[in-house]
Amino acid sequence: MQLDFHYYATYCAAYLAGYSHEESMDICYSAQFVDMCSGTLLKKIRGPVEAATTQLQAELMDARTDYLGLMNITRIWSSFHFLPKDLNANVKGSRRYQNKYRLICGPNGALLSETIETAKGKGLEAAGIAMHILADTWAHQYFAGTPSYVINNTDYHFYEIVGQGDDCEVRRIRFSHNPKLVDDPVKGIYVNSVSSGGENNVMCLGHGKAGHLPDYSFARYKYLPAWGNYQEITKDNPSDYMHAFCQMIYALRYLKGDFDAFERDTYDTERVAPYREEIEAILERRQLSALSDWKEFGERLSGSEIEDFDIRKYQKEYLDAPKGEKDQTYLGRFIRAAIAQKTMVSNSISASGNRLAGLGLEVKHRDKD
Amino acid sequence: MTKTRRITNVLIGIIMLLFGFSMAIEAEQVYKILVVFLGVTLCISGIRSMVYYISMARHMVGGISILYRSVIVFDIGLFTLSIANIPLIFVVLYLAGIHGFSGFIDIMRAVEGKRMQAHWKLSLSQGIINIVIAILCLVFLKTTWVAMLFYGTGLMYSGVVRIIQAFRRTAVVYIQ
Repeated sequence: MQLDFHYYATYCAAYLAGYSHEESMDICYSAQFVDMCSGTLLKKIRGPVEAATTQLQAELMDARTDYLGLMNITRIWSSFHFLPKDLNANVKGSRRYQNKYRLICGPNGALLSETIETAKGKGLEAAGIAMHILADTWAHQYFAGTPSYVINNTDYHFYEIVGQGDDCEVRRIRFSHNPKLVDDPVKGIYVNSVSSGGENNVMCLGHGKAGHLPDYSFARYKYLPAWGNYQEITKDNPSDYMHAFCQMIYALRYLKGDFDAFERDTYDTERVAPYREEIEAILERRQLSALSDWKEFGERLSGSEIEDFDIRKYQKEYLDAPKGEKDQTYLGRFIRAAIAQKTMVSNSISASGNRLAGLGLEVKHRDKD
Repeated sequence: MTKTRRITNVLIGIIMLLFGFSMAIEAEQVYKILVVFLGVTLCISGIRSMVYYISMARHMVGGISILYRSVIVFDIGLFTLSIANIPLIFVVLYLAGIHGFSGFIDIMRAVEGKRMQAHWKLSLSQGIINIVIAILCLVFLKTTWVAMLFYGTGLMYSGVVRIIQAFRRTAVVYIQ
């Protein structure tokens, strides 16, 4: 998912959930900041590097893929972008294979409930982080947040479904490895990561081999996932994104105190109902970014201007705050919430007997300090 | 490509340059070391791929190709080791064959790269030069020092290409 959904659509979901314009801005800023909070940025603002919620392209290119390096990558990407659906999934194979398979992302897993509970009562920044993770469980499902050739690879059997019903056209997707090229939905040409036979190569992290298709709300496609035992999967992004949107409203209402418990597989379709057709039209439009559509919809919804995302917005506040008061700043609260989420996911993966995210103790101890 | 991978490629390129230069000037002394080195490397690579197939890749779509590749590489490694003690002329014949095959694979990769709009010109030129060198080795088979001179030159060229490839940009989809 991109800025359009993580920032503008999250704003709309928060507003529909009953938050004010200012509160919705804080939530959607935090949701988008998950894609910005890299180790490099944290070093720049002199924050704790273990709070990183993403890795820049340059960081990934130089990331170590030895045991410790893989743990760091897995902690970040599994915690914030590819939340595992079932850490105890029953699958045949060696322990090494099982460990990778069990990190495959999907919606409505047990860790989603844990994520929402972790964010409960921790402020709007924590709510924003949880919304980013929730939305990504829909967009990034079927891929794992750890480098793995045997899980994340795709092959030539990859088709886009253009249109709906009897008039739909099924066409083979042409993937390009040219880093200078931009995706072309009209011709059906998309950029993906270069093929690599190395199991732990960063090229095989997440949905890199499927290009940006999971990030486009309009995309419908079918392919053979490497782990799927030759069973074809059809991914319907417009439907998945609508589920994500409705579930975000429900989860935000829970965080606001409208419900006593968070139930998985529950969606607030009532509050979406008056706008359903409009939202579906945005999701279905074949464009690389639905940014202006969501912005226009959100501003009409609240009657207030949604300012553009500015990565520097809260940096000065954090830098200028005295050492003991940094936790009271916006970024301070974001960092605390990010560390809590990373600790929870790392410890859950570790408790399942899977060491791919490390023991989870390092982050926990630092958090206590 | 990670930093480690780039450094590894540069080191392999330098080793190829050194072997190529040594072959070009002192074939009789160097060829046995080269053959043993090549054989051991191929055997280790084949075994590693087999272990990977058994532990992981047998569960993946298309994973059987990794098994085929591992068996072929291991077999070529064993064959390479078995020819370390035979006259130089047969070694030249074998190395020319390997060079020709490698050139063919490079051209195939270039064709695929062009189809995928990735880098292809360097692979194509490498493939053509590899095949030309293999042909020259066969033409001058009876004067082995000339053949080894060509072979050494080809190895040096491959080493340079490897080093150039280590510094090339590659496409990585940035996940958000």
